[in-house]
Amino acid sequence: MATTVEHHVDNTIERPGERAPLVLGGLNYSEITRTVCDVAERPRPPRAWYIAFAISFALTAMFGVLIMHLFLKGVGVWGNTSPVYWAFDIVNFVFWVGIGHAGTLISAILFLFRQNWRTGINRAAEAMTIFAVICAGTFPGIHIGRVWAFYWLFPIPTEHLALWPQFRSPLLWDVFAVGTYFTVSLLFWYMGLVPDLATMRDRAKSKWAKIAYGAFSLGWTGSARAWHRYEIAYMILAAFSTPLVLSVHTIVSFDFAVSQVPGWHTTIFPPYFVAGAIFSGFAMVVTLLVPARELFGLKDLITIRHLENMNKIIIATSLMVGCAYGIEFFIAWYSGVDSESYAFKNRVFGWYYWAYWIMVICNVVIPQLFWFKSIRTSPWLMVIICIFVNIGMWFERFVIIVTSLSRDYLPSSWTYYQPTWVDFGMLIGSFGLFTTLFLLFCRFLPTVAISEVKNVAPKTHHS
Amino acid sequence: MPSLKNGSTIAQWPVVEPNDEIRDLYVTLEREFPQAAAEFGDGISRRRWLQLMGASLALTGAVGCRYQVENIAPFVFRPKDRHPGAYVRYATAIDLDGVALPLLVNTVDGRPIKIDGNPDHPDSRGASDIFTQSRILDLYDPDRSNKPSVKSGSTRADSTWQEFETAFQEVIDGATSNQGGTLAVLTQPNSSPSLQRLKQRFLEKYPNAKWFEYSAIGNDNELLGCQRAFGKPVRPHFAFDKCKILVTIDADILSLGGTAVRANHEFADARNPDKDSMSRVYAIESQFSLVGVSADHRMALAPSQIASFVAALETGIAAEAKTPSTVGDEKEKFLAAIIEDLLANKSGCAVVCGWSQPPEVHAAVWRINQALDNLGSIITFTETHQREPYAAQLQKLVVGMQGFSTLLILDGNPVYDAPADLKFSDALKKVKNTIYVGLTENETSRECTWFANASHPLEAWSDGRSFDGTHCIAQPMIAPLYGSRSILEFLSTAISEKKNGLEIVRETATAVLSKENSDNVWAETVHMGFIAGSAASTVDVAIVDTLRLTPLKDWKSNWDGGKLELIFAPSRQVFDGRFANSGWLQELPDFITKLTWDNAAVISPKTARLKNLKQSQIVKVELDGNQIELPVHIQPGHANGTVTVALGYGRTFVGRVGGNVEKGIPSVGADVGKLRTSAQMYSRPDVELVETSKRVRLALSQDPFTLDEMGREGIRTRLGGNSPLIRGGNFADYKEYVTQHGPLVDESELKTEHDPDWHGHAPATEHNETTNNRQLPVINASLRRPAGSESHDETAQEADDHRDHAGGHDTHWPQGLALHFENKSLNPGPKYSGTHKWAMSVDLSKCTGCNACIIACQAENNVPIVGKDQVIRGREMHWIRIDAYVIDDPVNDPDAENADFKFQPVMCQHCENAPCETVCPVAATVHSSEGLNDMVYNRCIGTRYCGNNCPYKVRRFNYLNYSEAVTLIKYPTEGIYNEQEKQMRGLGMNPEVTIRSRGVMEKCTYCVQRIQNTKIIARNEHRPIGPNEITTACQDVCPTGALVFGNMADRESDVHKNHRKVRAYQLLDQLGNLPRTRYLARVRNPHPALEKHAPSESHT
Repeated sequence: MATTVEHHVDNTIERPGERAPLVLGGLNYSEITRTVCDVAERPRPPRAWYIAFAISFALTAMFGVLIMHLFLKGVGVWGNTSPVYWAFDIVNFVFWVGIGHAGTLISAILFLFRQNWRTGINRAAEAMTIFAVICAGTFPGIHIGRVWAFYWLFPIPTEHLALWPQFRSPLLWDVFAVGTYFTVSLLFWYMGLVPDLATMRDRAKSKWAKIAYGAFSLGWTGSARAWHRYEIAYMILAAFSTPLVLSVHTIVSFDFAVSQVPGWHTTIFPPYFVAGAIFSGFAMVVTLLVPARELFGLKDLITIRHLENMNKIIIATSLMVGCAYGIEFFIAWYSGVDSESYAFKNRVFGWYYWAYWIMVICNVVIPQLFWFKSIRTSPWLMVIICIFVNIGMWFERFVIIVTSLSRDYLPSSWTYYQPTWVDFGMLIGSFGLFTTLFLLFCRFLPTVAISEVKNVAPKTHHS
Repeated sequence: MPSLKNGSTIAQWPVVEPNDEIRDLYVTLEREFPQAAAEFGDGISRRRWLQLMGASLALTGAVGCRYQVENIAPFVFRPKDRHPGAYVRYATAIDLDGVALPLLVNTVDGRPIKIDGNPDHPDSRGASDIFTQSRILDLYDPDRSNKPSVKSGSTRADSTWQEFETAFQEVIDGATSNQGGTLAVLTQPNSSPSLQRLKQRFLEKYPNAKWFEYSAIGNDNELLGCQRAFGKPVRPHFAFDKCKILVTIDADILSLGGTAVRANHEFADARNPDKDSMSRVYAIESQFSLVGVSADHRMALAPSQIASFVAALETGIAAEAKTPSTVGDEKEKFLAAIIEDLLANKSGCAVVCGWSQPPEVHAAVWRINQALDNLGSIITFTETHQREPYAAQLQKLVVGMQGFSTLLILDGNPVYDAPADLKFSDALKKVKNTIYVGLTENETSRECTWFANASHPLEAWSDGRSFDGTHCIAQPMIAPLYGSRSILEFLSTAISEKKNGLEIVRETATAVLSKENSDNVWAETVHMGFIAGSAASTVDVAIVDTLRLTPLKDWKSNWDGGKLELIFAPSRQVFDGRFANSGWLQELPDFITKLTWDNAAVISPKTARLKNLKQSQIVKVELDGNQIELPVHIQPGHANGTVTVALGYGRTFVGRVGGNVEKGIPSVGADVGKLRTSAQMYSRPDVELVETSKRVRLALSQDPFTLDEMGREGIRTRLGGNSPLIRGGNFADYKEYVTQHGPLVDESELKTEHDPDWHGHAPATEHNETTNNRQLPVINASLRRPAGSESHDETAQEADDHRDHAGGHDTHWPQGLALHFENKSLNPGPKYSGTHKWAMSVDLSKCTGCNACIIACQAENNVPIVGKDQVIRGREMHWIRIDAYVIDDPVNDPDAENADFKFQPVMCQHCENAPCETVCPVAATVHSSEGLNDMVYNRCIGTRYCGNNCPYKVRRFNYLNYSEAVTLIKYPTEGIYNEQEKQMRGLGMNPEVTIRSRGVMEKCTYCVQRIQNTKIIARNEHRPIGPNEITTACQDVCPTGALVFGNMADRESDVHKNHRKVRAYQLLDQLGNLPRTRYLARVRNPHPALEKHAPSESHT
């Protein structure tokens, strides 16, 4: 590759009076374009891509088969019981929705706050958001007992149903919240893609690529007027998305907070869930981008500084989450309610104590390593830590959902929940779906926002 | 019902061929009106319309079931009193092991769907038990045999009745020629007078034939004990309702045996805390029983120790010992208290001894009762026929096998349940010709030359005698579904009379009836179900036996960790194994262990500790070369050093539920009968449990004890704590409170705000204070505290405090909960404008935990069974369950031999602020205007959120297609029954209740179909619904009257009266859900000197 010269410039060092460069390697505009487009334009992707795709596509296929099995046999193929009516299905749902938070946060909130470093990572993060929400949306869709009636959840004014949904139910709010979030995120992502798609269209050599990129670039000309409108629209969408970042997980947390289950019935859930979502989302972005920048030669555009910034957010949200864990215990004790304080004691010392300790170690203890600069700037170490964070965040949902449900009010109903192989298969399968979509994205679409990166690129000699 | 004429053509399905005329009509119907009757044209006259509709109705009826008259003809005019789809009730009776229970059977369109007790008979009073309830399921069991079969060589082949009759005729001819010299008959105990009469006739015709009776679980010891004590065979009857002091010695009077239903009723009657006095019950037993749970004091003793206890008791009573019950160790105090109580209540108490104790202990107990003047007052006797013990009879048969050329086995299953030392199966092979007649093929029939399928009790005429000797008539509810014949008819053939069942039964009744058996008298008798006044008359008895007991083992000795005693107990689900193919019973949790689909080696925590055994570990028991493997279940309160194993499991040839080894369907549980010998039918000493490394997961419907320490702590806090799940206290305290404050609370208690139907009280704020602040007086404060946290004195102090402030909760309710409670006024619940407010009350003082409500609910509401694996997953579907809690603290005191058990039936509480309703996204669970929490199955999509949010966890989800209902998407080969078999099962379903398919939530509806039916009837008759007119299925079956349903808004209703009692409380009231179901606190009557050891406080 052409631009491997200045990789070793350390842009993580703050020099007073000087902005740290966000594009390295002295890339000029055309080199930036070439670097990004090269991924899609090269005749065949690296061998690693094929291997990764083969594995993840196989897992996706398994996911599909398991969903069919679920449909044919019933929800009983999972380990859900009475009283643990929700288990892996909703754990996975909340987990994936949480992952889906980073993208919009990066693209919208950081945009409004003029955080220029977002440009290197926003495209991939947004794509990841969309794929995560697809995975998330799958689970509530298939977890219901009579899947063929899933559309009854939507307010469709038909004679057949003759009834509106029940608007007091948080599950219905979920449908609206996740639906809105997905729509707006998709729009936002696609809007941002348009200029880059046009670039790809202009560079495309094969007929099919020309047609496809041409169709999706919506006749973008790159005129000043087009840019003007584009920027206004982008700003509006960013403003739209910003509250959604907070609302989605707030509403998802209402599924729990609004109910009567000890361990769920807590007012801290909305901020706690949002913090956790951002935490896990950023960890997932880091997990994906480190290998992607290696694989597709994007190290100059997605620099160590980008990664370090994300790690700083991860440590901040880790502290928030840790704080929330503590406050939950305080409130449980302070409330004086037996069942509430028991629920929390049970988390730590009960049947599922191991899940609780996995959660605490992965979410609160391990991210503290990011206080060390050497660790937070070392790509492969941060991937390992971020994988731990994602494990921890999955267990956080497991602890909240399964531990609380397995022991609520009447001890007579307490049941130890045990997942089945289908539960594990579908969890792994959803990762397969997510990775498949992400690999396809990397292969066919501009992984980095070309036009935006050019804005933050240092002035080149040529210009 | 006419006799069966289908002879050799045994139809698997009662198909009635329509005659030509009807067929023509049907064709016309098809051709003219292909879709629906709504499309009838104008050209049809009203007369023609009626004809056509009548014909189609008749045809519909002919497909699935049979009417009383089998001549199918078009109903041009509907026969009088026949309403398609309406319930019709018939009286009948079903015998279980020699005692008949008078019953009423609900039929709809000619098929029985629900069994209840006959309210006119004192043995039932409308109640029944689990076995009776489950008979509906085995009537329609697709695994029932549908034709005779014959063994040729080593293989079995299907046969026909015709072939069977030919073969049987040869037997009869042979027997006639040698007067039955080589003929033997083996039957199960059966109270049927007709059977007895035919037996006499049989023995008259074949004077040299031998007749034997055998049952694996019999009252041999009781009979021999009476024989020994009184010198004649008599049957004891206890008036438990008049009993002030009751001592049960290894006797579970409440769960098994022919008197259980009546005993439950009378027992609860004597223990009603709202009466002036309440009985006191002492239970001495090894295995935890229902009486043990209900008793005020319980002591666990090994079976071998019981004789010495009885001896000590006898000595004490004889000496009129006035040992103060405050001296000595706990066991001595216990005995002293019993003696003191018994002596103080002479001629008003009873000591009952159980079946498993040897005759000499029975005799000693009779002497004690004699000394207490109970004979004739509390205990009366009726005459019974003399017989040898069952095991001895079977032994005689086995010894004589070689001499018989023909053996007739009428029902029963000796190959499976005979004591191992008799080697019955080997002996059977010596008989040339063996004929088995029974309900279905089993282990025994497989080894017999011939098998012929007998009719189900609901399919055939029969009779029986209830425990008090009343002559009961059993009429068939449906023609035999599988072309079977009744055993009576078979016997009649055997004596070459060939009468049909009706003739036999009517002939027998003629001798009992006081007047001429005219058709009218007969119809009336059949209608009643029993012949009033035919109960056996009492006989006077006098003690003839004065031989003192010479016990081997001291009752005061503690088990030292040596060898164990093995106790064989009849299964409290499948009895002796005969109900092994009943899914309802297999899935019914045991009262105490909560184990389903299995039997286990039940041991106490101390036994487990000293023998180093773990919960669910597989252990081996090896005796006489027979070896069985069983999982361990640890049960606090079980006698130390003993192992209880349940009989009736490990069937190898019974069906798709209970196991069929030939077809690769595994047995349920292990057959422990292999370890029994004819000398040791109930217990065996010197047994070792050999541990293995295998472990299994037991299908426990609840974990009363086997949780981790954190879980046990949770149970303790919830049963103590601020708002205990089960509240209650002492009778003395309760009475004192009632004297001071009155037995009822203010009516406004039952009122919701803005209640328009509430008269006499303005919906004013002055009542709000009472509404919000009144809390159930917590009668026994010790229950409100975590176990063992304070000394007894302080507890008493607090109880005293509480009595001073009773009614107000300020001193007891911590701030957090008081807040919760006051917050109720923020959401006073929905408004009701109608005159009906359905509600239920559950009296924890009366509930003995007999499980009958679970099966009754299952039968009424088509509740499916789920199977062992699903129970392990925690997915059982019962709409009503009986929660059991162990209050003891076995961790701090691992050697505690006693544990306090408490039962609490829980079904949907029908909350006014129902937490399930607000969270359902599709409004599938909604509130009715009468306060019911309705479940709309076809609206439900199964998000299961309601289940999560229900704090009572009474909602049940169809994770799989348990009912095998029609589902949109499914694997094509799903389900264990084929279409025809499914239809057969469908016949037993209640047509008023939807069958729930996979993916929907379900729960108790307060039997809404019964409410609606009664409303329709009342409206048609232009009258209001009576105060107690509607009953639920669980209420009907409850032998103690613990469950009461009704209209809370009607002051005359029992539920209103119960809700107003000071004992009434709402479960989890701190949540503000305002459940319509309320519980009445559990009141116990401990001996003052033993109060410390009363179950509720055994931890101090």
